[in-house]
Amino acid sequence: MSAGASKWDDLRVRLLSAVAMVLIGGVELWLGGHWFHFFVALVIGIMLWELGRMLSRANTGTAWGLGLMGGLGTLGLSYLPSVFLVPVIGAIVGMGWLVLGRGNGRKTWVTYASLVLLSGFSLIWIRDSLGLWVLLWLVSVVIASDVAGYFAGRLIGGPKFWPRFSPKKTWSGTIAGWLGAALMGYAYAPLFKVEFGPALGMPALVALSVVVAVAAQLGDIAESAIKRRAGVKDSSSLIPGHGGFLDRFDALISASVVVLVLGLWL
Amino acid sequence: MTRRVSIFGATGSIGQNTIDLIARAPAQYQVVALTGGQNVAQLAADARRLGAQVAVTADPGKLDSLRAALAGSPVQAMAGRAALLEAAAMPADWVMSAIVGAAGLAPGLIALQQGATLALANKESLVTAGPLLMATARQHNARVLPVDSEHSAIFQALVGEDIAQVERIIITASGGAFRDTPMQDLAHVSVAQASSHPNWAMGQRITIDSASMFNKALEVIETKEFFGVSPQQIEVLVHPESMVHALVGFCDGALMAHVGPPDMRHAIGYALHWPQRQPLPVARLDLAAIGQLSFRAPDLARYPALRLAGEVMQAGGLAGAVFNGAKERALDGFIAGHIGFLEMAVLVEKVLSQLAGHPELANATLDLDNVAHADHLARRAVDALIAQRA
Repeated sequence: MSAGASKWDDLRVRLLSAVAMVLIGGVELWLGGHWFHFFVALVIGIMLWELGRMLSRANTGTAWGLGLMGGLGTLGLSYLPSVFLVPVIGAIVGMGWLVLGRGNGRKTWVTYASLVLLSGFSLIWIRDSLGLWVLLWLVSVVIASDVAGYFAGRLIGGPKFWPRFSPKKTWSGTIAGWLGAALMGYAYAPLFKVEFGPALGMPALVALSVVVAVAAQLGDIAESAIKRRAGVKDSSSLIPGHGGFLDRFDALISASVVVLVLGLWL
Repeated sequence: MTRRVSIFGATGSIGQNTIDLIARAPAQYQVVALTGGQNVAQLAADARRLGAQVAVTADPGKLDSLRAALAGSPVQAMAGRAALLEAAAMPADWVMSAIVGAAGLAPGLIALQQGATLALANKESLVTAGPLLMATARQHNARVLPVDSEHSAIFQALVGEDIAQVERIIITASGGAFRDTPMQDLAHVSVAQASSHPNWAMGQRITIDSASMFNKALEVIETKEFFGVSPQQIEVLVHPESMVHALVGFCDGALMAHVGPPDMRHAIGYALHWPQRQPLPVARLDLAAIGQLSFRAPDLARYPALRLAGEVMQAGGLAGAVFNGAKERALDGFIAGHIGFLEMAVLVEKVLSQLAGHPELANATLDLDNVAHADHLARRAVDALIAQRA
């Protein structure tokens, strides 16, 4: 009885947190502009704090410093042209490389911190140049592939996708994630037709959604691998019932970078 | 009390003249949004000078250069069509719609939905979707004010009058670059010749449209949509001096003419200060020095666009969108050197009759989607016709 109640409590906390995230994130997304820039900078700062903490658990000051730099750097980049992208990210990542020291996963820091910072820049860039709907599509595709993957993996199971890095991910869940993303692309197609005209039709959007889902899944796996190496279960416990920001937004990090690259290329 | 103003198409000639007027009394205005196209440097400079909240370039690929040009200022940089529509949704009291082309329709509709007063310089809004625009304004208790000198002139001649007592509306046309060119030479005029206007300094496309009178054809359709008169009540008169912009004839035989120098800042300023009048930096006419003004009937053989306007008004529905799309594409063809000056009207007429009974257009509701679709079909039809004759 008590075990059942605590399980119920946990689900309630998870749901409440999810509602809070959707509300806060949704309002920030909709507002755009300075509001969204500050919001993304805050989240990126927290993520770098989490990453720094996982990699140098002994020294909390290091993590705080890296998080602060990540947030300020992201905010600065949101008002600067892209020539500043490499120098700013390089400076923050380089600083982390120096303070983390040997044996603290410096290679992991360099690749993942770069990716996180780049995703902050991407999210803001997408909001400011491609608009609210493209960003909503991106978030929807990531959520759809995650949810579809979770349920198919649980219900169908079957062979593992990439056991070396992710012991739980199955092929059935991965493919269901692609299908979920494709469905989301199909759902957004009429809206995109109005925004972008016949240039971005339904088949193209469905294909792009699947590409984004693959990127999201790889991002998910990468974050799991980092946590496993650091020997932690969650990146932090800032979001009640969900763990940390890196846990919750790992898939969005890689997916947003892919959308930026596709957006610049298309 | 400061008024919140936004300018769509701020870097074009209407936009620049609007900015000129606003910059003369900066304390009276709070600039919300300025939008432009490729000329990011001008857009950024104006946004800084006027202290705009946001600056938007319509080209999503130009966000980078806009950010660079605005670096260190509190102006927010945004880019792309979605950003343009977002800027239109920002609360403002007065919105100048001076984007060129069919892209100007959607921001204008959104501004009206916010209840803003829309100063309308974008011709396509009324030509392609007049009933939709006017209905949106009524529904949200918003006002549309004309910014074209001809329509502003009609509007001013109608102050205090009852439209039901109007017998006819006469809009004047300078006749454009070729009003005295012999008919047989018109087929071979060059793009450069068509791009110079005798009286008005404007962009290249609208100057060519003046020479072919496609511009006047659009204005005739706009007159019908804006003032709600019948096509038979609208006349076009060639008036080479461009000083009488329009005349309104009433049921008692009176004819009210609006006379002024050819300076678009007059119509812009009138719309900006309406319902008041304010001193404007435009030249004052010395009628004694001018001596005489001349008028003549337009030669419909020389200007087939005027006849086509009549057909479009008769057809209604999406015919305006087809007409505009075909005209734009034919103009592209002329500027690119693919077709001759007179062929523009020939192509537009062919496309109008081709698409007249098109199953996707006939009886389709007049909304943004269908207007865009009609525009797309018309452009494709022109391309096909140009490809055929090559």
